[in-house]
Amino acid sequence: MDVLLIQLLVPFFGAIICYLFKSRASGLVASFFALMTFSLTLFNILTSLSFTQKTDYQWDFFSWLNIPFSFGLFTDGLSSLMLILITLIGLFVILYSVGYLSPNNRDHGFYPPYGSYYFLMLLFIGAMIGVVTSKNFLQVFLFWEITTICSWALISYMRDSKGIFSGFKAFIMTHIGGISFLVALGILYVEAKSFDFSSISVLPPTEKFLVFGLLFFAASAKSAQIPLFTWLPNAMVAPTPVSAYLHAAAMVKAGVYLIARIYLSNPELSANCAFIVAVVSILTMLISVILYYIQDDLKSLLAYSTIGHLGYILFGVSLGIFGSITGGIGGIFHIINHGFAKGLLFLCVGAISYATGSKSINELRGISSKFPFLAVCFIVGMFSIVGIPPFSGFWSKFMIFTGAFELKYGPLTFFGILAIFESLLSFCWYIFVGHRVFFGTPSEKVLNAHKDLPFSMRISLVLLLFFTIISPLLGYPFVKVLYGGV
Amino acid sequence: MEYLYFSFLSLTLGALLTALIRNKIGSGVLAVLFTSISAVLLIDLALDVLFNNKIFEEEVFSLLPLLNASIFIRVDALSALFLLIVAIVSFCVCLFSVKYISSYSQSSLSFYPPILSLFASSVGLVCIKDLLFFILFWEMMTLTSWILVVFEREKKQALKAGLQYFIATHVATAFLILAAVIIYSYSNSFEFSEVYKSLGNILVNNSLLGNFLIFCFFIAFVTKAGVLPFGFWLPNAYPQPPSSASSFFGGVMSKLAVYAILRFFLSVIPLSSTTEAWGFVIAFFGVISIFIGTIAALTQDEAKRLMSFHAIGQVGYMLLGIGVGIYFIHISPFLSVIALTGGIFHAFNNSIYKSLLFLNAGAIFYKTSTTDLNRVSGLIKVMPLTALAAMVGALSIAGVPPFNGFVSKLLIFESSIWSARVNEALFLVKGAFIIFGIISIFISAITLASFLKFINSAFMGKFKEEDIKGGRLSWSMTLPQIILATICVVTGLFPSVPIKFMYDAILVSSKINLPDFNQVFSADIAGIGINYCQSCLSSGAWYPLFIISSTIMLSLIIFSFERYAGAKIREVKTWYGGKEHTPEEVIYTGHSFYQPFKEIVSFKVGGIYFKGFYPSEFPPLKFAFPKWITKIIQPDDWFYYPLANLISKFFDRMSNFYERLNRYYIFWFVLGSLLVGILVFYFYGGKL
Repeated sequence: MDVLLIQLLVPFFGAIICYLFKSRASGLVASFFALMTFSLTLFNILTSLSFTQKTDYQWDFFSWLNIPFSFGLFTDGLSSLMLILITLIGLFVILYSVGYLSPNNRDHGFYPPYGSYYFLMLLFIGAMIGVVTSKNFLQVFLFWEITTICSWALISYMRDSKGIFSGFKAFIMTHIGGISFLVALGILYVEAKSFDFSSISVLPPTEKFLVFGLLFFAASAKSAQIPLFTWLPNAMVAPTPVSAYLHAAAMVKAGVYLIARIYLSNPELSANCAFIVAVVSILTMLISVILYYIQDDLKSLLAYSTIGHLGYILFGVSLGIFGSITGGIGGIFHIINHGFAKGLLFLCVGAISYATGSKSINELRGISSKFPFLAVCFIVGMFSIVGIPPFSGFWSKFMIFTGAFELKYGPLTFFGILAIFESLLSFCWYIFVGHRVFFGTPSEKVLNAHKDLPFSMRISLVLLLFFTIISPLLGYPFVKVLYGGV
Repeated sequence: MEYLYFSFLSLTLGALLTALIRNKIGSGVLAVLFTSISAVLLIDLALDVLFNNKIFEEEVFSLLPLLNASIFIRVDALSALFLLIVAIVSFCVCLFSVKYISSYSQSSLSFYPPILSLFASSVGLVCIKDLLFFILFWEMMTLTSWILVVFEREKKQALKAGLQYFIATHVATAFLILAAVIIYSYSNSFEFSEVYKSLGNILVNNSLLGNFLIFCFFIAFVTKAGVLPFGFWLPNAYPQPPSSASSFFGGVMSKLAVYAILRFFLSVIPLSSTTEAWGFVIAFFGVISIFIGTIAALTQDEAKRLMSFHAIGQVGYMLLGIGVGIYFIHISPFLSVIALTGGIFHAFNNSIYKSLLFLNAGAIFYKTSTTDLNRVSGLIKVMPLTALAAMVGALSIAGVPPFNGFVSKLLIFESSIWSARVNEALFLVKGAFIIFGIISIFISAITLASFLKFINSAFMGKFKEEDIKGGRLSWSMTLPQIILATICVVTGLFPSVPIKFMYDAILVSSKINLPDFNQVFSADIAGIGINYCQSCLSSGAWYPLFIISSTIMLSLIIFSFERYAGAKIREVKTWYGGKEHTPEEVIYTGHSFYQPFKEIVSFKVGGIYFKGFYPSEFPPLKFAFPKWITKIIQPDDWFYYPLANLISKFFDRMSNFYERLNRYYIFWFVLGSLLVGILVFYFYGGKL
């Protein structure tokens, strides 16, 4: 057994253990397992040469497929970057949940047993690790659908009618994408006789485009892009740590991970493929930024912002497919920067709703006078997201912009200008909301808020704040390796 | 060179450490300590560069292979000049703040860390030679100053100003980012010299794009500098932070935008006949700012707001000088050098006296808790040194000889008027420049008028004891003002040394052959002679020592007469017109100054009320996306839900259909089996 496999199995094992505990102890056990997963990941990354590792397992179950096929785990720069994001934020979110999931929560009281919650969270961590360490499409697909199930169950965790409806909607919509993934797998099986990531290259042009299109559709459903983006705002009925983790930092990144993986493994994709991705991502960005302006709920605002930023990442990757390495790597870089910052923002909003019982922009005023630390967290997260230097988002966004202009191709230049414009619009709304919610004289809700936040929430916010600030440094080595540097 | 790193480090370290200390005085002392270390190092470095004409260059860190950008440090005379300003003002500001911040109820955590980071980013900005990191420091400056603008987070005005400020400057920075990425697609490097080369190519091959790029730079810099109409945010934002921070804003931050304009037009944008036209644009917007900014300042009754408007006006003067300089740089190098020297010199002078004046306003606020000129008077009784310093600052900003503002303004006026003598220039352009010059001379008088108002209402008049808190000002608040006032006087009396520095700054940063210093200026200890062309010797001159010495002699004579005659001095109370009236009746408050004038320049157009040509009240802006757009982009309601309903209805119907045929169940069963059998038989051709 090598470390890669242990790293994959630990969360699954932990999930079962956690289910046995009913009280808050379950959260602590889950934190322990998350910490272990993170340590294993870190160990893996530090010991591997330029982050690349590979192991194969020959299993006979699939011999009826009649093609050379093996299960296997592997990591490279992209996987390692995702692994860091998944395990680190997973750890903080689970730690945060220990405090958040309590009867004291003003927003929505949570009562024991908590076992099923941590079971699903750890299951999700395991599935996500599976997605990013799989070495072929079939294996990705298996873990891919586990994440969908976790998402469905966690959105409906409260079991109220809204939650059940949203969970169902999210499940259906992401599963429509899953079906198109399955069709793509079928075509690959018939035409290429292989599920390898690089097998798209050997297909004839029409099939190549078709398979790419189907996979992109799957990814866009998972990553909440046009046309199947409407499940994500609804999914915000989930407990906030779930939104932070599944619907901002990790699960929605599975889609962009898939496209980035295809981009990295298949150097010769047609410009048509890239063009679809670019158009869809730019349209999504613009739609999401318009919808910012009519949101009253802080979480929905963040949800639309997530949609927009997934668009950024996909736009960057599409630039990479077009031929601009800077843009492609910038998109991948944006995964980690956005993940940390958005996770921080969500947890911050979670803390606000924990203390005040409200997430409405209209009801909240002057939070900084009562919780200056939350204000700092939100503002740092906000500046990272909108890309104010020296915060993280600036670097990746700047690389994406550079990529868009680098190619000197009319439509892309236009898209680049649109992206800058989107960035400005989102900046305006974010700073407006930041001013409105955090500054000024405190409103009634804020005055009546809880005095203190639980320790577990504070510590995970502090750590996440720290990692949000240093996330460019964290991502830099991986990105450098992907770029071909040493 | 290490001095630069150490000073940057000490500022960053200061920012980090002061973030950990809650005690106001403690963190203030710490901030002063770190700022003074960095100030000493910076001044040493800057003087070394200026006196010995050195250039330091070093590459510290590179972002390769991701982007071809690096922290490329280059300290030349222009950078050194601005480093000098940053060092002096930052030290004065910090020293002033120690006592001053304790009069606020807010925590010092939201003052010292941001202001020290602001100092650090200003230091970085003037030394960097790389476009990407220039943008980085530029935005860090905006970010940290925004935190200072919203220092008083409960005040509505402060929040509004902060929002306006950040959005306006960030939009401007977006232009800078756009220009940077476009240029990078041609140059593949962010370094200034590479940018210079590829910008030259772009201007030759695609002059439209080239001019658009220059436009982007222009917008970004003038917005930050507060040039009207782009700097509409400035009068709202600058008064909001504590006065010591305002002092750095008005004194240094807006001057750094001027630095950026100078740096870009001299060393990054290749100057040719097409780009020189931008000189005219710069001068034009400069004059608009001079005109509107200063006239609007006259109508203000609040000291800090008044000074903020002057910040706009003063930047206008610099831009006028720089604009003239850029326009004539090939046509008439002599004139150009003088105008540019005037522009930079004015930036230098302005940063000193503008900081001084904001500190004066801070001292007033510290003692009276207000800066409203209607509510303070007679403060010379409690703060004589502040009053003296304020007088020096006011006379300097108004350009009264022999203070420093006069010298730089003289250079700017003379060079813009002198453009009439340049035969190669277009007639209309020459005419415009002359009009610009005349306007700026006229407005200079208005500057004096508005500062007379400031001095008169704040320091003169009847002293109202009941409003004053505490005794005399502490030395830590007076000393910075004295330092700055001394610099104003000294540079005014001995302009030849600084002018040599300014000239070096231009020579080093520009890539064009310019005439020698001795050809343009004939400088000695007494003053300077100015030559506007090769042949016209000493066509302008300024010898402050001659004038000041005769003035001093005259005063001495009068004084000795007085002593000789033995005239008695009797002390009486100020006479307020016989008996004591209510203050409203007799006291000439700030509001009473220049009433008729104010009425002339205040009017209403549409829903907007203009006060001194500056829109003071806007009708609230309302903006909403059309309903149909928001409807279309939310496909749930018109597509997904109806579709899902349709599908579930369809399956309902199917199940109904099935239930109705319950009786024929066996029939269905047999029929179905037969069908399957036939199909199997058909496909496998009986081979089963």
